[in-house]
Amino acid sequence: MRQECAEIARGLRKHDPDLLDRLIERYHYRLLRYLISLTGDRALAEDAFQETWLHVLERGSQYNGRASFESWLFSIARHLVIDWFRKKKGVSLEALTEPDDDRASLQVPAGQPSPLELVAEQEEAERLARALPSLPAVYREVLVLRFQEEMKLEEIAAVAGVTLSTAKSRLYRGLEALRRAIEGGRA
Amino acid sequence: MSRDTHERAGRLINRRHIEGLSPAERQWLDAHLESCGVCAERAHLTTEAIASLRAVAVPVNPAVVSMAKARARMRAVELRRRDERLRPLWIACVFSCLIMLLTTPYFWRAFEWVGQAMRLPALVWQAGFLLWWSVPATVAAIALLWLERSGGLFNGRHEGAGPLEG
Ligand SMILES: [Zn+2]
Repeated sequence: MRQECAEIARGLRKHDPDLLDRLIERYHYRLLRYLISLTGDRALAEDAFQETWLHVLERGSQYNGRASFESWLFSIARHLVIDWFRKKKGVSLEALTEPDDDRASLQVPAGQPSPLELVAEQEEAERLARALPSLPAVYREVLVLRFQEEMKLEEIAAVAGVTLSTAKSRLYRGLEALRRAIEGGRA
Repeated sequence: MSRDTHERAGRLINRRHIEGLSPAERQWLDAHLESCGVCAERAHLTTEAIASLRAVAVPVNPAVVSMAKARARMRAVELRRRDERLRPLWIACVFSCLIMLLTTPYFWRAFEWVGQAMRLPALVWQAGFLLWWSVPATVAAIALLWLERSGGLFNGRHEGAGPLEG
């Protein structure tokens, strides 16, 4: 793992196009899933996906190969989305930092099916698809990193750029909110 | 059972999935869930929510992936070309710095000797020395400017940034 990360770091410093090809092939699904959960918007997520890889190339020399590549990749994607929302969408940075209440700041527009809804086939998945977009973006993010990406708490904190205790608190609150939303969907 | 007991169970149900429980806590929680239907339902719902979260599938448009690969490849080639253009310059810089470091004391003495031989004021031969000293940096700056003008050394990432720019 260490050696692999070091090799990636070396390749990125050299702007190796073949390495980029392999990285995109390997991480495209996970990156896209994360971006969809973060933005709640498929088109937006796909644009951010494209741009993330260009940032990876340009900032490749900043990756030291000591941390896991996916944490670094996801934190680049996250910064990009935050920047983008701030500049283009008029949504404040707080939308992706800390919600004041349990309402989502970056929700999927009402009446529009979210990408998650489109693929939900089973009853439970449908309930989740309805519940997930109703959560604040910061909760969706940590839940995805923890339970889909199976990241360690320290890695989640690194990606989200917060302290370990904040990452934990978001996870607890996110899990609680998710359970409540699913419970509400059942009632 | 007291309200505190159910609240503790609620906290442990979440903690089990986030940080993990000690054997004693696990034992306590299991015993509580056996005897408390409300907390058992809550635990079940939490587990189910996490399981569905893990099972979420996101459809991927292959065209998006291909486009990302093509754009990244193009940019990588651009960056490599830039690196190649910069490489001789870096080598020249390192080389000239080395020469400077090694020869500075000799040139200082040489300038001093010429200054004294020509009976020049100290300020004049010292200024001459400084001028000579700055030649490599000036040449490097000219080379950088020339490279930028002829090939766009820093024309950067904005080319083809595409969908995000609109
Ligand atoms: Zn109970």
